[in-house]
Amino acid sequence: MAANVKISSFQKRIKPSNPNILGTKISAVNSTLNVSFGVTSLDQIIDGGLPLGSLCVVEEDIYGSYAKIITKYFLAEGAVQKNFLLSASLNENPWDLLNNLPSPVTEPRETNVIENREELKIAWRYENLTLEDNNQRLGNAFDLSIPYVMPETQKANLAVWGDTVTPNLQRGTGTLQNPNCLSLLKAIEEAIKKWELDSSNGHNLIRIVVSSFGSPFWQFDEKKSSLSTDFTATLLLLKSIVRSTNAVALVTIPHQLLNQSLVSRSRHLADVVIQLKSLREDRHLHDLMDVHGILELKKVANLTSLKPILGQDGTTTYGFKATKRKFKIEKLHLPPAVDDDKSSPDQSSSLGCSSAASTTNLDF
Amino acid sequence: MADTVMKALMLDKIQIDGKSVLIVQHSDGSPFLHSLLTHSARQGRRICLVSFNQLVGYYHSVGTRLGWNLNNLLSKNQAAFIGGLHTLKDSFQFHCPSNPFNFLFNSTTCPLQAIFLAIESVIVGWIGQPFSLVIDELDCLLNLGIEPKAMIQFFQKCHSLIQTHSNGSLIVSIGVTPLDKEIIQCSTLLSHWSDLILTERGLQTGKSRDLTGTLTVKWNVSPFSEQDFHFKCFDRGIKMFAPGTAVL
Repeated sequence: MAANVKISSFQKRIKPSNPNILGTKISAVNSTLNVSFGVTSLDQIIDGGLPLGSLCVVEEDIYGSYAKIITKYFLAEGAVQKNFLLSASLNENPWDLLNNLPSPVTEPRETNVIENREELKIAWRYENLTLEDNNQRLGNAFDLSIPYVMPETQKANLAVWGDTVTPNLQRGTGTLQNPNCLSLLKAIEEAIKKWELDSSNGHNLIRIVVSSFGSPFWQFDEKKSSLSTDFTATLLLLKSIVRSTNAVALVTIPHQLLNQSLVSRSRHLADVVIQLKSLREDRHLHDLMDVHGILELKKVANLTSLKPILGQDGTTTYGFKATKRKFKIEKLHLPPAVDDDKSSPDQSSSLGCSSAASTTNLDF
Repeated sequence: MADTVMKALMLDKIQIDGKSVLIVQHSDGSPFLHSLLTHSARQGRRICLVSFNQLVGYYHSVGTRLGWNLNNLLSKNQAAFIGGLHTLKDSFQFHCPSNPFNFLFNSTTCPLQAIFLAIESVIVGWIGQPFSLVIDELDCLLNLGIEPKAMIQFFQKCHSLIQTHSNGSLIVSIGVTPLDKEIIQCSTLLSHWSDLILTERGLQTGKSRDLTGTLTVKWNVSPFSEQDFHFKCFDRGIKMFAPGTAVL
């Protein structure tokens, strides 16, 4: 009997072990582990959040106020997920950012029925589900007006760089010379070592925020004939650190203060690049009355395949609204081109397409 | 789909041995570098991949979708990986003089010598066998503080390495942005030395779901041709179109 037993070569396919890193979710698009930005609408437009190990550069608006809100959301999401947080800044005390994070709130789910939605004939059970339900959103909702009271136990998960000025920092002897950059990289490395994030078996991640990198406080050598290599080399080294550990980095740069070729190089180095533009920066944007500014996805790199990642609906330009309580990104709608001036009897009497009587250059 | 790319580049008829290919990228990503890597792997060529901006895992995961396995080739010693973000991180942590990126923290007279010696030692071991020396995003050297002059010299040394071993080929990609005059000058110089120049641009009107960008294929040696194509990147390859036929 026993001789007749055949051993099949079939083996049950075992699901690969889930790394179970706090605050991450596997992307349905390209199987990367994604980390939430904290702003749900921003997560949605970049295919579910930032990939773990990526470097995101946010090009600040003119006074950096909206970029600061995004960094607050990013850190607050990490605080709620019990991630390690590192805030670095030379413009302001980095503790200010960590002590003024928005508080998580339970947001009522929007049950608006999307207009022009096609009636489903086969999968009719899914008809009433919102897009959010299908995606199983990753992040939390926050209220900017309520400060987050961080539990005492979680304060050990925080680290800062730049709160105390150390004048005796040494300049490097190689191509990377800026002492502030060297000190920052060392602080990040020490934090990763302290929290043992350099091993692949870690169950937590670190969120690194560097605010206004490249501002005059960083003392980059502008007199050099070539572009400041400290800026780009630091970004590349930061990328190398986050890519090989459980980390994500968000760097905001005051791009209007920097040389444009430096900005284009930083775009080339980063994995995700977002540009914020407030309405006061550009007088052409004043027509967009229902938003406070424009968010442009300059780059979203695909880390696993050649297929380019476009924003939701294939567009890369969005509007954002920042109220007292909430920061929200939405589709950009141009207002209807209604002429505000009441047409004078002289103009109305002129022929439709004739430009002779019109004072403007437009014919139509 | 990779074959349509090789047809467009005419590399299905022309042997790549002894030739140098330059990919000038005006947009993000390096799809044609991956196509040429796939082509080299399928032809059974040995691959020496030099990278400054990515991990080895990135090339492996893109490569598996295109039908070849880099980790497998690395374990069989049919491929070598030099540089990469991991080595860059190590250079900061350990300050080892043999690290190719040690020039970032210690002054040296010849900053790129360590990288070149690493490449040379790999290629010397492959004498007599066809190989491809692939350098991804050479412009990253400028970001690390290398002078353009030193970068051009590095390219020339790699080029002469190919010339001395006639069964080798050199594939270099460089990312160019219109505002950066330094990189544009470098790409013009490198174009002068290359046999095949692929200039890849995004669409002028923005991004589209139907099309990824345009490619200009220019042969500096016989057949001395110049052709324009449109292309679309997919998960598993690139599709080439004659201009105007993409959505037909």
